[in-house]
Amino acid sequence: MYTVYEVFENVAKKYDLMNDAMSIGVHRLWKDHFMQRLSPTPGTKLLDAAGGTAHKQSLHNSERETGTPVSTSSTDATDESPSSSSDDESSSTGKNEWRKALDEQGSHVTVCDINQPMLDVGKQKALRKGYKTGISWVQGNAESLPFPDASFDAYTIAFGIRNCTNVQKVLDEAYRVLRRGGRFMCLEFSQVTNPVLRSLYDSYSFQVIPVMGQVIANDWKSYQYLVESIRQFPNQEGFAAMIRNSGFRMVTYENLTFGVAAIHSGFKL
Amino acid sequence: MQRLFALRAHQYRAMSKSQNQHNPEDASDKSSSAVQFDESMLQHLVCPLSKKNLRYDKQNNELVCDALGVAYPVINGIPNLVPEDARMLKSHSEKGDES
Repeated sequence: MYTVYEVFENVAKKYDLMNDAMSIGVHRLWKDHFMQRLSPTPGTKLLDAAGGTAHKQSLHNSERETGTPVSTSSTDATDESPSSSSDDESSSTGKNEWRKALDEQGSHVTVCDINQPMLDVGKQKALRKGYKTGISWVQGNAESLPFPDASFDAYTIAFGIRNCTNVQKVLDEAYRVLRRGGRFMCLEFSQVTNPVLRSLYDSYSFQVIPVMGQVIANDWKSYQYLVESIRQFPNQEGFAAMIRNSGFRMVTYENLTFGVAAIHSGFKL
Repeated sequence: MQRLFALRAHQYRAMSKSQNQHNPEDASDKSSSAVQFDESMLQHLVCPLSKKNLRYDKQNNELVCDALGVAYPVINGIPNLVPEDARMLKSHSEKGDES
């Protein structure tokens, strides 16, 4: 029997390579864009919720191990600040902002993930880089956060919420821990808007990605599962409605690469 | 196989649980060799279930929610506040013991 755990174990090993191959490197641009959209102000208290999924944790784990630029989001944000030596020049703007904010402005990032090895690796890396303050590591479930009400200015989650059991609960918790005026931001795969492009994208996803997975990572099934899970997640409007349901206002989204991914944003007013 | 398409956190947890079950003995072993828990974090943390304040039990290297009688492990200085990983405290008098 092919377990979920094994799926992610397999995916993790060649994740960087596969990400680049599958998205032709675009995933890095998405992440940079996400960070620039957030553009944290001095003193920001940020919660980076990895979504409590095996998927994202594995990714982070392998990414941190290899020291390559993180492809998935917000934990990246936190990871970037400490790891100034990251070699992804294209995202230097966002990173510098973060580093500066963390270093000089009393900002604080809390990384919350359900996977312990990922946190260990991230923390060790941060310490190696000499970042001892401005960042906290907590193992927790995004559906049941271990933080007090109204304790953060910003909440980020990237390529994580799709894999949570109860997405609405994750959103409710995000709302709870944010202060008034606080911002929720999510980067996640979404639906390609143009029907013609969508059919091309579907062909690519279902016919090319599993093959690539087989060739590069010697693993067909894992990549087919990833493709399927993307299709199961609500589309842009559906997810925006869920965000509003949790109480967020001024909910907007922005399509990236024709809607292959989307950035959703909402405020607690 | 179909159900695997929905990659769910709790399934992953269930599968990986056997690898890092919360055992106070392990926790104390680790506390001696690994990173200390930074107690100043306590003011920013609550029990994920009761949302009430936590207390650090240095001896067992655990974060205790007295309201619910549960304890969360600290591993390598990182608090594990995942509800499934909590340990029930049998009674308040046994707080310090692994039971």
